[in-house]
Amino acid sequence: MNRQLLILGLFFTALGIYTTAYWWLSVEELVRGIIPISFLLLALVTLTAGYTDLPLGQAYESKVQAHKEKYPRLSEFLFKEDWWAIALGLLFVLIGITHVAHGSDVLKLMAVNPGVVKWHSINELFAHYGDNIDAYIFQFIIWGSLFSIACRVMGIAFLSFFKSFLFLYLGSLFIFSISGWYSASSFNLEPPLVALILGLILANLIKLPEWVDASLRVEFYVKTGIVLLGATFPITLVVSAGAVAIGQATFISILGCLSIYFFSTRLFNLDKRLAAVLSVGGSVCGVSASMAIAAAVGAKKEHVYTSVTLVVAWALIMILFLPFVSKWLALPAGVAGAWIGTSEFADAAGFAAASAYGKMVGNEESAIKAFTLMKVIGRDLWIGIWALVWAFVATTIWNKSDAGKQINSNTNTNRSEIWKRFPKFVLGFFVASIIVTIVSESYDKYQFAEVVKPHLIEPINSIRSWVFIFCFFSIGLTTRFRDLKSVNLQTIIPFSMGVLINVIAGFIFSVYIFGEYWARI
Amino acid sequence: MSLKCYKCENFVVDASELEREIKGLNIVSSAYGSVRADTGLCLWHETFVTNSSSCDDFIKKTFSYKI
Repeated sequence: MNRQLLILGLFFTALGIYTTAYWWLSVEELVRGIIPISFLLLALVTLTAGYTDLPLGQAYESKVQAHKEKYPRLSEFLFKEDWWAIALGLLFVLIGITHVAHGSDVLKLMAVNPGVVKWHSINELFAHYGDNIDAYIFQFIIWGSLFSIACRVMGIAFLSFFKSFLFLYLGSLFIFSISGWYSASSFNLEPPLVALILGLILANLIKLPEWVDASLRVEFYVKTGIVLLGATFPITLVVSAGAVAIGQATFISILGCLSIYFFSTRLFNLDKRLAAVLSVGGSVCGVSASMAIAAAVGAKKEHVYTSVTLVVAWALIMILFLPFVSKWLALPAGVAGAWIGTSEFADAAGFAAASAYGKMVGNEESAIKAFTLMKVIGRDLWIGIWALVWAFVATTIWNKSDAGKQINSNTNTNRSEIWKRFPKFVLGFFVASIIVTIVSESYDKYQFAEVVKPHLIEPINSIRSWVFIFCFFSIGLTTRFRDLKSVNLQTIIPFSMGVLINVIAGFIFSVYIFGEYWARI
Repeated sequence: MSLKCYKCENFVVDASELEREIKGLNIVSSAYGSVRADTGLCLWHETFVTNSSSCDDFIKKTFSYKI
């Protein structure tokens, strides 16, 4: 028997009974709070334990392959980030709707953001952090856990991701803190630009440790952000504006694609497979489009690598160039958003440019909405169609003339290819938009302004800002110029000519032909 | 020609491995996205193929242990 420990035990028992009685209401609240969280944790543990086919632990790749053979359809959901982005985005939308109905504070805790403080002295900023420290800890744990679980299933080690995400989260806090300074906009310290430049500096001037890379999932964040964006985007606007967006985007995609292909093959004698990869990269959806058609045309590794360098270089140039030119021309936010949507070919980079300009002119919503209509709804949907077109060209025209072909590429030239290559996260955007539009319809104008806007739309907007800042900071941190393939002028010129044609045509369409229309968005 | 690429040692279809092979792929894109579908990289021919492609240089895959 240890008498000292027994006495200490009795002391703590007395203290426990006294404080429980004294703070009984808080204890009751705590117990109530712990019960649902415990159920959710139990659900997660039992589902994971029960679904033994989930490829976790050792020999991940062989388990994934076995899973794909056994459950081909389910594997598509588990191992592709598009479906995880939809799940996470819709989870927040559903929590938001519950929040409106029952008045819980979960969504508001997730929406806390130092960017709205407008602090004059550093003490004001620290006071904000002091008042909201519990919300920030909660926010980090929820973000970190959700993204880590999703990435773990996709094959990224849980702890590596979580540790790296702490770095990303703290960096994002710092970026928002800068933009929350009352004079930040006078110095163009918009969060997307600060995130990008800070990331580029850290990635290229300082040797960051390798573990930082685990959470830098640019596309995963931007896709989650796009699903969340759907919740603030009335489906009626998508329907009414869709035709103009798709019409403008179709013209630009075809013009850009054919221009780059023509310049590359006719003027610079580039390999037709490289020309095809570059043409979709510069006109449809950057490297994602290049990857989508790579197998169809039998592209070489160096072809896609070249596309990466050119797309990244132009994406960065346009993030820094388009917002300032738009400001110089005093373009309305919607018009600039549409122009950026027809010029930028990478979603993440385009959102950075549109968001930066929107913040510069104090109308981020219009810039982002016009950009989304043009890029996500108008241009991204072309990926599967281009993959099918190029597969058809490669199998019916090129392969006949390719002597000594070593690989039976078994290229799919039927319509299923369009769905196979379809950017599925766009579905999440539409579902979120439809759900929130239906929910909003059940409230009158006054209730919408008093209840739905502050308790659903605004918190989701703030949550979306967080995901986008993770994305923009990740773009900067992953852009290591030393890792990019050097490309020659013969490749740079035709690609750049096509990009400039897109920029000019996009400007004419967005400003002169549909200018009034985009200005009203 | 009956053995498909996805069973070949030279076929890289794992997203993280693909991103290691093509540095910079994850900057404004991703190997984890739907649009890639079953496209992978053949290290032997340095060419992109789908998992149902095939060729005479097939080498049966022996999975490496990781994670």
